[in-house]
Amino acid sequence: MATVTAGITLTSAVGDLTTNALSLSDSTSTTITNMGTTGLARAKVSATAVHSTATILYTADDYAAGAHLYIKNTHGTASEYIWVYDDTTSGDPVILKMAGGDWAFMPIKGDKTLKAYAPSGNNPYVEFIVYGTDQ
Amino acid sequence: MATTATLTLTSADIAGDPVNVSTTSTFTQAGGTVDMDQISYMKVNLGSATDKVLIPASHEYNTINSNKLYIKNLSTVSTEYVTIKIEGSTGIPFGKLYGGQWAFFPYNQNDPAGLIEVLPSKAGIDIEYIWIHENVDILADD
Repeated sequence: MATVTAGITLTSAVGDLTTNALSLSDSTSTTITNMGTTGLARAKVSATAVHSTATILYTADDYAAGAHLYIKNTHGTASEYIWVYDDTTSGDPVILKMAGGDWAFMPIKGDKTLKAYAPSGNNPYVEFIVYGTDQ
Repeated sequence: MATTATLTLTSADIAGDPVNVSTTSTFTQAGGTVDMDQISYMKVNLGSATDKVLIPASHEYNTINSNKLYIKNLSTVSTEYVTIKIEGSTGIPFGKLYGGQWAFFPYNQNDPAGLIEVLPSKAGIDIEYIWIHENVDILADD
């Protein structure tokens, strides 16, 4: 059994999104028996389109439904995008277009292989971890 | 002046050594350095257990713009979930957000027919969501 706590703090300065400053914090803990994880990983994204050489983030059915993905495009320039797509569903739909510096934390069903590519060809790096119930 | 999101991810027992991740993203309009400037912040009851659209399909809205979405399932019952659907004209089920859990992700629509929907596992689940966006006329014309 293992427990992961995920917290988020959203802040916006005076006059940015609204007249007054905004601040929101939230945190949730997930305890899973038989927890498995990819481990925290960092990988170069070399492919420039959907392709067998695209960076594999997660392989379908490694974990049961209710797994979680954290992913970050570590590039410092906003225009340096990394696209994350579902390699299992027909048509390889793009799920996330992550600008440089963007991160995401979200649940995944566990039954889709997720891969990443970077259209620019500049080989940005992605940081990620997936955890869930091993099966 | 800026809008930021900070994630902290911690676990003492997920691996042999503790895992501690802390990262901050500063939001900018698509591909540039201009701050994000618009927000929609709502708490809603999802009503019946059918698909509900959070971000509508529209080329104008999403394909060239930057969007950030925070969603929290406000149910206190850990088995009650909402399925997040991303892209595709009918939404592709991506993950299940159980009671008390939250998700945050950037969204830049790829399929012009694509949208973001949520499907509650039962009627009456409340969610809270924050959509931070740019240059979008989200109000329907009369």
